[in-house]
Amino acid sequence: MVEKIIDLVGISANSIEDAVQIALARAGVTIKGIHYAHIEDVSAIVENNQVAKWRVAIKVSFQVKDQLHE
Amino acid sequence: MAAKVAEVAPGIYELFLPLPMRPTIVNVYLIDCHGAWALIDTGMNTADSFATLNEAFEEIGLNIKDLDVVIGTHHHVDHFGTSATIKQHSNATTMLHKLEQERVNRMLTLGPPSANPDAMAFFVTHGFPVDKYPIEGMRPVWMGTNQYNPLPVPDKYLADGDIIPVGDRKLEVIWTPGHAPGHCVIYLREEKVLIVGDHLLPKITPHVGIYPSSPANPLGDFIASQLKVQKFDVELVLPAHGGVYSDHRHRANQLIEHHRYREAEMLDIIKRRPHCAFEVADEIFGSEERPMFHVMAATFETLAHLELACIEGRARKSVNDSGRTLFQTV
Repeated sequence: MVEKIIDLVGISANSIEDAVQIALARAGVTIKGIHYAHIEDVSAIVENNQVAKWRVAIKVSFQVKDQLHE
Repeated sequence: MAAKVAEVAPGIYELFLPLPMRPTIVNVYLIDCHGAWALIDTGMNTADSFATLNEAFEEIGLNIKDLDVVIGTHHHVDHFGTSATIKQHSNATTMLHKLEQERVNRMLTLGPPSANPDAMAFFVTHGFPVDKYPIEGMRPVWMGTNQYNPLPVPDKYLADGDIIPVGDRKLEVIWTPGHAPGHCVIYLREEKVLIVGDHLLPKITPHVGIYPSSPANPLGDFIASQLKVQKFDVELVLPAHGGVYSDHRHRANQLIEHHRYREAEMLDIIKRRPHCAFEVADEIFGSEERPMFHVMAATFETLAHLELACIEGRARKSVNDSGRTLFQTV
């Protein structure tokens, strides 16, 4: 089995978990079979001395599926 | 525009007609039913489009007057806008879903938005900045012009499950509300061909928005219609914009996932504090300067997502002291 890995950044006004979930929801539009996400980096966008948004970089893994010639 | 025709399946011709806006082409489909001819959608009623339609017919060795049946997938200007003109040049039987005919008559008689207090109240409660974007601008530029020349009454109404015999073919009607309340796709069961109008576009997503007098949950309808078409066995999908393709179930799933992702983004925004639809659209689609029509479409497509989230129990709405409708997560 071979996996492919792509880098994504999810952004949420609420939490790190929500940022990850939003990135996975977007990835799911065009990628099937995502089974692993590794959090690479977490940072915060700050406005008025408060966290305005969480910015989470993740690596997403999914299985490469080949179509056999019939 | 020079006529461009492609025979995409035996006796099924894709005609590329010009539009004076984006997308710049609408595909209509002419079907040789062996002894009779059917046209699915008509293009916009511009001189360029009608001339191109005539040239395309000539290229196939046909004349507009040879048409027997004209079906509109929905009432929009680029799909049924030439129906009355074609009727003037042929004896074709014209067909449209009844809900679309109601929209046709609304578009033909609608006054300016500022003269409609319900429309003004609707814009204001959802935060649309009518001071920055006067709602007169929401009136499409083609309204009241000859570019939209639909039949006020079709010869027949389409209904879900209808099987329309034309020559030796059977055109099956599948009602797919969402993009428009009476949107229908046409299924040729034996040929495994699905003519999808704007329901299942290969590269772009059709606008699904809530407006005054529109259905309460068009996005819920749209998603249900995506699930509905997946039940049919299809080998060739013929869209109104973009190229023909084959896997309609895959594309329907993508469209559903797209709207679920959009909703997730919107719920994230209203989780922290309540927002009105315009504010959410501003964050999702960007607040840079853009044409009024885009701002309006973004706002009311956002509203469709927020209303669906309310119906499905993920959000709730309330009206504040200023009369603004605010949404927040539950």
